[in-house]
Amino acid sequence: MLAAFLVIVFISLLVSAYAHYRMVLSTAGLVDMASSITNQLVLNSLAYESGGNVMKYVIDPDKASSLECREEIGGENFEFQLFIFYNWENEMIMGPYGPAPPEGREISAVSVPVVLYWNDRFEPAKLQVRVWRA
Amino acid sequence: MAGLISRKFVPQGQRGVSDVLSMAFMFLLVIFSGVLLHGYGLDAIGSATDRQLQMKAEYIYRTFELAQVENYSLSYFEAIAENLIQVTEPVVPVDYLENQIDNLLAYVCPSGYTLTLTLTNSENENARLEKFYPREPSVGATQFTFSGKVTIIIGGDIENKVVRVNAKVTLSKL
Repeated sequence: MLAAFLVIVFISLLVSAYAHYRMVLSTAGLVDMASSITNQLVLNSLAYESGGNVMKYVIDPDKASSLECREEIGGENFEFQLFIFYNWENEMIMGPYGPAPPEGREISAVSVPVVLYWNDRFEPAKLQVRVWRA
Repeated sequence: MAGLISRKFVPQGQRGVSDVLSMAFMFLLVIFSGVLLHGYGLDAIGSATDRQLQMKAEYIYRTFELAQVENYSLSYFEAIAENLIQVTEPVVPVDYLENQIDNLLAYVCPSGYTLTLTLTNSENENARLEKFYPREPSVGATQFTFSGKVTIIIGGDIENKVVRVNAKVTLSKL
Protein backbone atom coordinates (compact mmCIF):
# COMPACT_ATOMS: atom_id res chain seq x y z
CA MET A 1 0.00 0.00 0.00
CA LEU A 2 2.73 2.43 1.05
CA ALA A 3 4.93 1.34 -1.86
CA ALA A 4 2.10 2.11 -4.29
CA PHE A 5 1.63 5.50 -2.66
CA LEU A 6 5.34 6.26 -2.99
CA VAL A 7 5.30 5.22 -6.67
CA ILE A 8 2.35 7.54 -7.33
CA VAL A 9 4.11 10.40 -5.52
CA PHE A 10 7.30 9.78 -7.51
CA ILE A 11 5.45 9.76 -10.85
CA SER A 12 3.62 12.98 -10.00
CA LEU A 13 6.98 14.50 -8.99
CA LEU A 14 8.43 13.52 -12.37
CA VAL A 15 5.52 15.13 -14.23
CA SER A 16 5.72 18.29 -12.13
CA ALA A 17 9.54 18.49 -12.53
CA TYR A 18 9.22 18.12 -16.33
CA ALA A 19 6.67 20.96 -16.46
CA HIS A 20 8.95 23.07 -14.26
CA TYR A 21 11.95 22.32 -16.49
CA ARG A 22 9.99 23.35 -19.60
CA MET A 23 8.98 26.60 -17.90
CA VAL A 24 12.60 27.33 -16.89
CA LEU A 25 13.83 26.72 -20.46
CA SER A 26 11.05 28.89 -21.86
CA THR A 27 11.91 31.76 -19.46
CA ALA A 28 15.65 31.50 -20.22
CA GLY A 29 14.84 31.48 -23.96
CA LEU A 30 12.69 34.59 -23.59
CA VAL A 31 15.46 36.41 -21.67
CA ASP A 32 17.89 35.57 -24.48
CA MET A 33 15.38 36.70 -27.12
CA ALA A 34 14.95 40.02 -25.28
CA SER A 35 18.74 40.53 -25.40
CA SER A 36 18.84 39.55 -29.06
CA ILE A 37 15.99 41.89 -30.05
CA THR A 38 17.54 44.76 -28.05
CA ASN A 39 20.86 44.23 -29.85
CA GLN A 40 19.07 44.15 -33.19
CA LEU A 41 17.33 47.45 -32.38
CA VAL A 42 20.43 49.30 -31.14
CA LEU A 43 22.84 48.01 -33.78
CA ASN A 44 20.53 48.10 -36.81
CA SER A 45 16.87 49.06 -36.74
CA LEU A 46 17.14 52.20 -34.58
CA ALA A 47 20.80 53.04 -35.30
CA TYR A 48 21.38 56.65 -36.29
CA GLU A 49 22.66 57.16 -39.82
CA SER A 50 24.89 60.06 -40.79
CA GLY A 51 26.18 60.52 -44.32
CA GLY A 52 25.58 56.87 -45.20
CA ASN A 53 27.38 55.64 -42.07
CA VAL A 54 25.46 53.67 -39.47
CA MET A 55 26.38 54.74 -35.93
CA LYS A 56 25.93 51.67 -33.77
CA TYR A 57 24.82 52.26 -30.16
CA VAL A 58 23.40 55.66 -31.13
CA ILE A 59 19.65 55.54 -31.58
CA ASP A 60 17.52 57.77 -33.73
CA PRO A 61 14.11 58.38 -32.11
CA ASP A 62 12.56 59.23 -35.50
CA LYS A 63 13.01 55.60 -36.56
CA ALA A 64 11.10 54.28 -33.53
CA SER A 65 7.67 55.48 -34.67
CA SER A 66 7.85 53.59 -37.98
CA LEU A 67 9.29 50.41 -36.47
CA GLU A 68 7.55 47.05 -36.97
CA CYS A 69 7.54 45.66 -33.43
CA ARG A 70 7.54 42.00 -34.42
CA GLU A 71 10.43 39.59 -35.00
CA GLU A 72 10.68 35.98 -36.07
CA ILE A 73 13.62 34.24 -34.42
CA GLY A 74 14.27 30.51 -34.70
CA GLY A 75 10.80 29.84 -36.10
CA GLU A 76 9.11 31.58 -33.16
CA ASN A 77 7.30 34.91 -33.36
CA PHE A 78 7.97 37.60 -30.79
CA GLU A 79 6.39 40.99 -30.27
CA PHE A 80 7.90 43.86 -28.35
CA GLN A 81 7.21 47.29 -26.99
CA LEU A 82 9.88 49.90 -26.34
CA PHE A 83 10.41 53.10 -24.38
CA ILE A 84 13.23 55.62 -24.60
CA PHE A 85 14.16 57.41 -21.36
CA TYR A 86 16.20 60.56 -21.83
CA ASN A 87 17.15 63.90 -20.23
CA TRP A 88 18.62 62.17 -17.18
CA GLU A 89 18.52 65.18 -14.84
CA ASN A 90 14.76 65.50 -15.26
CA GLU A 91 13.86 62.18 -16.85
CA MET A 92 11.44 62.19 -19.78
CA ILE A 93 10.01 59.29 -21.76
CA MET A 94 9.41 58.73 -25.47
CA GLY A 95 6.94 55.98 -26.25
CA PRO A 96 5.55 53.48 -25.82
CA TYR A 97 6.28 52.29 -29.35
CA GLY A 98 4.62 49.04 -30.38
CA PRO A 99 1.61 47.13 -29.01
CA ALA A 100 0.91 46.75 -25.29
CA PRO A 101 1.87 43.35 -23.84
CA PRO A 102 -1.09 40.94 -23.48
CA GLU A 103 -2.45 40.15 -20.01
CA GLY A 104 -1.19 37.02 -18.30
CA ARG A 105 1.61 36.37 -20.81
CA GLU A 106 5.25 35.80 -19.84
CA ILE A 107 7.19 39.04 -20.53
CA SER A 108 10.92 39.73 -20.43
CA ALA A 109 11.96 43.36 -19.97
CA VAL A 110 15.49 44.64 -20.52
CA SER A 111 16.80 48.17 -20.00
CA VAL A 112 20.14 49.19 -21.51
CA PRO A 113 22.05 52.48 -21.57
CA VAL A 114 22.34 53.89 -25.07
CA VAL A 115 23.23 57.16 -26.76
CA LEU A 116 20.34 59.19 -28.14
CA TYR A 117 20.76 61.55 -31.06
CA TRP A 118 18.59 64.42 -29.89
CA ASN A 119 18.74 68.16 -30.65
CA ASP A 120 21.95 67.67 -32.66
CA ARG A 121 23.70 66.13 -29.65
CA PHE A 122 24.68 62.67 -28.50
CA GLU A 123 23.01 62.31 -25.12
CA PRO A 124 23.05 59.44 -22.63
CA ALA A 125 19.68 57.69 -22.52
CA LYS A 126 18.10 54.34 -21.73
CA LEU A 127 16.22 51.97 -23.98
CA GLN A 128 13.71 49.67 -22.34
CA VAL A 129 12.37 46.75 -24.37
CA ARG A 130 9.56 44.40 -23.31
CA VAL A 131 9.38 41.15 -25.25
CA TRP A 132 6.77 38.38 -25.30
CA ARG A 133 5.85 35.41 -27.48
CA ALA A 134 3.26 36.38 -30.13
CA MET B 1 14.69 -7.81 1.49
CA ALA B 2 13.96 -5.96 4.71
CA GLY B 3 10.53 -7.56 4.81
CA LEU B 4 12.01 -11.05 4.43
CA ILE B 5 14.49 -10.49 7.24
CA SER B 6 11.92 -9.01 9.54
CA ARG B 7 9.58 -11.98 9.18
CA LYS B 8 12.07 -14.11 11.08
CA PHE B 9 11.69 -12.00 14.20
CA VAL B 10 8.29 -10.34 13.91
CA PRO B 11 4.94 -12.17 13.71
CA GLN B 12 3.23 -12.01 10.27
CA GLY B 13 1.08 -8.91 9.78
CA GLN B 14 3.17 -6.73 12.07
CA ARG B 15 5.97 -4.36 11.04
CA GLY B 16 9.46 -4.52 12.47
CA VAL B 17 12.10 -1.82 12.84
CA SER B 18 13.72 -2.70 9.50
CA ASP B 19 10.36 -2.29 7.69
CA VAL B 20 9.83 1.12 9.21
CA LEU B 21 13.43 2.10 8.38
CA SER B 22 13.13 0.99 4.76
CA MET B 23 9.85 2.90 4.37
CA ALA B 24 11.41 6.00 5.89
CA PHE B 25 14.41 5.62 3.57
CA MET B 26 12.16 5.32 0.50
CA PHE B 27 10.21 8.35 1.63
CA LEU B 28 13.42 10.36 2.03
CA LEU B 29 14.58 9.19 -1.40
CA VAL B 30 11.35 10.43 -2.98
CA ILE B 31 11.70 13.84 -1.31
CA PHE B 32 15.38 14.10 -2.29
CA SER B 33 14.71 13.11 -5.90
CA GLY B 34 11.85 15.66 -6.01
CA VAL B 35 14.20 18.45 -4.94
CA LEU B 36 16.86 17.34 -7.43
CA LEU B 37 14.39 17.06 -10.31
CA HIS B 38 12.97 20.51 -9.66
CA GLY B 39 16.41 22.07 -9.28
CA TYR B 40 17.66 20.60 -12.57
CA GLY B 41 18.02 23.23 -15.28
CA LEU B 42 17.52 26.25 -13.01
CA ASP B 43 21.00 27.44 -14.06
CA ALA B 44 19.61 28.23 -17.51
CA ILE B 45 17.90 31.40 -16.24
CA GLY B 46 21.02 32.48 -14.33
CA SER B 47 23.15 31.98 -17.45
CA ALA B 48 20.73 34.01 -19.59
CA THR B 49 20.74 36.92 -17.11
CA ASP B 50 24.56 36.71 -16.89
CA ARG B 51 24.75 37.05 -20.69
CA GLN B 52 22.43 40.05 -20.46
CA LEU B 53 24.70 41.65 -17.82
CA GLN B 54 27.75 41.15 -20.03
CA MET B 55 25.80 42.90 -22.79
CA LYS B 56 24.95 45.75 -20.40
CA ALA B 57 28.64 46.18 -19.52
CA GLU B 58 29.37 46.70 -23.23
CA TYR B 59 26.46 49.14 -23.61
CA ILE B 60 27.71 51.17 -20.62
CA TYR B 61 31.18 51.29 -22.18
CA ARG B 62 29.71 52.51 -25.50
CA THR B 63 27.65 55.15 -23.73
CA PHE B 64 30.78 56.60 -22.11
CA GLU B 65 32.59 56.31 -25.43
CA LEU B 66 29.97 58.06 -27.59
CA ALA B 67 27.79 60.30 -25.39
CA GLN B 68 28.87 63.90 -25.13
CA VAL B 69 29.55 65.68 -21.86
CA GLU B 70 26.76 68.15 -21.21
CA ASN B 71 27.54 71.61 -22.65
CA TYR B 72 30.60 70.23 -24.50
CA SER B 73 31.08 68.46 -27.81
CA LEU B 74 33.60 65.95 -26.41
CA SER B 75 32.63 62.39 -25.41
CA TYR B 76 33.12 61.28 -21.80
CA PHE B 77 36.06 59.02 -22.65
CA GLU B 78 37.72 61.70 -24.79
CA ALA B 79 37.34 64.26 -21.99
CA ILE B 80 38.75 61.86 -19.38
CA ALA B 81 41.61 60.85 -21.70
CA GLU B 82 42.49 64.51 -22.26
CA ASN B 83 42.77 64.99 -18.52
CA LEU B 84 44.81 61.81 -18.05
CA ILE B 85 47.39 62.67 -20.66
CA GLN B 86 47.58 66.13 -19.10
CA VAL B 87 47.10 68.34 -22.12
CA THR B 88 47.91 71.94 -21.29
CA GLU B 89 44.34 73.19 -21.60
CA PRO B 90 41.74 70.43 -21.34
CA VAL B 91 38.41 71.27 -22.97
CA VAL B 92 36.32 70.07 -20.01
CA PRO B 93 37.43 71.29 -16.54
CA VAL B 94 38.33 68.43 -14.16
CA ASP B 95 35.82 69.28 -11.41
CA TYR B 96 32.92 69.60 -13.81
CA LEU B 97 33.93 66.40 -15.61
CA GLU B 98 34.14 64.38 -12.37
CA ASN B 99 30.69 65.59 -11.37
CA GLN B 100 29.26 64.61 -14.76
CA ILE B 101 30.92 61.17 -14.60
CA ASP B 102 29.42 60.53 -11.14
CA ASN B 103 25.97 61.48 -12.43
CA LEU B 104 26.27 59.27 -15.49
CA LEU B 105 27.54 56.32 -13.43
CA ALA B 106 24.49 56.66 -11.15
CA TYR B 107 22.18 56.88 -14.19
CA VAL B 108 23.44 53.80 -16.06
CA CYS B 109 24.24 51.49 -13.12
CA PRO B 110 21.74 48.60 -12.86
CA SER B 111 20.24 48.15 -9.38
CA GLY B 112 21.90 45.46 -7.29
CA TYR B 113 25.29 46.00 -8.94
CA THR B 114 28.39 48.12 -8.48
CA LEU B 115 29.69 49.89 -11.54
CA THR B 116 33.41 50.62 -11.78
CA LEU B 117 34.98 52.80 -14.45
CA THR B 118 38.76 52.63 -14.87
CA LEU B 119 40.90 54.59 -17.32
CA THR B 120 44.68 54.34 -17.38
CA ASN B 121 47.20 56.17 -19.52
CA SER B 122 49.08 53.37 -21.33
CA GLU B 123 52.33 55.38 -21.17
CA ASN B 124 52.05 56.38 -17.53
CA GLU B 125 50.40 53.94 -15.10
CA ASN B 126 50.17 56.65 -12.44
CA ALA B 127 47.83 58.71 -14.59
CA ARG B 128 44.69 56.81 -13.74
CA LEU B 129 41.04 57.49 -13.04
CA GLU B 130 38.91 55.04 -11.11
CA LYS B 131 35.32 55.72 -10.14
CA PHE B 132 32.63 53.48 -8.79
CA TYR B 133 28.95 53.64 -7.98
CA PRO B 134 27.31 53.14 -5.49
CA ARG B 135 30.30 51.80 -3.54
CA GLU B 136 33.59 49.97 -3.95
CA PRO B 137 33.04 46.43 -5.28
CA SER B 138 33.49 43.61 -2.79
CA VAL B 139 36.39 41.18 -3.28
CA GLY B 140 35.41 37.95 -5.04
CA ALA B 141 32.07 39.27 -6.34
CA THR B 142 30.93 38.03 -9.77
CA GLN B 143 32.10 40.52 -12.37
CA PHE B 144 31.18 41.42 -15.95
CA THR B 145 33.87 43.42 -17.72
CA PHE B 146 34.20 45.19 -21.03
CA SER B 147 37.41 46.98 -21.99
CA GLY B 148 38.91 48.88 -24.89
CA LYS B 149 41.23 51.71 -25.83
CA VAL B 150 40.63 55.41 -26.35
CA THR B 151 42.95 57.06 -28.84
CA ILE B 152 43.76 60.76 -28.68
CA ILE B 153 45.84 62.62 -31.24
CA ILE B 154 47.71 65.62 -29.89
CA GLY B 155 48.74 68.16 -32.46
CA GLY B 156 52.39 69.15 -32.06
CA ASP B 157 54.53 71.85 -33.64
CA ILE B 158 56.44 69.37 -35.80
CA GLU B 159 54.40 66.18 -35.73
CA ASN B 160 51.22 64.81 -34.16
CA LYS B 161 51.44 62.44 -31.20
CA VAL B 162 49.09 59.49 -30.70
CA VAL B 163 48.29 58.60 -27.08
CA ARG B 164 46.25 55.58 -26.01
CA VAL B 165 44.25 55.29 -22.81
CA ASN B 166 43.01 51.91 -21.59
CA ALA B 167 39.35 52.00 -20.55
CA LYS B 168 37.46 49.35 -18.60
CA VAL B 169 33.90 49.06 -17.36
CA THR B 170 33.12 46.47 -14.67
CA LEU B 171 29.78 45.44 -13.26
CA SER B 172 30.02 43.55 -9.95
CA LYS B 173 27.25 41.97 -7.92
CA LEU B 174 26.66 43.84 -4.65
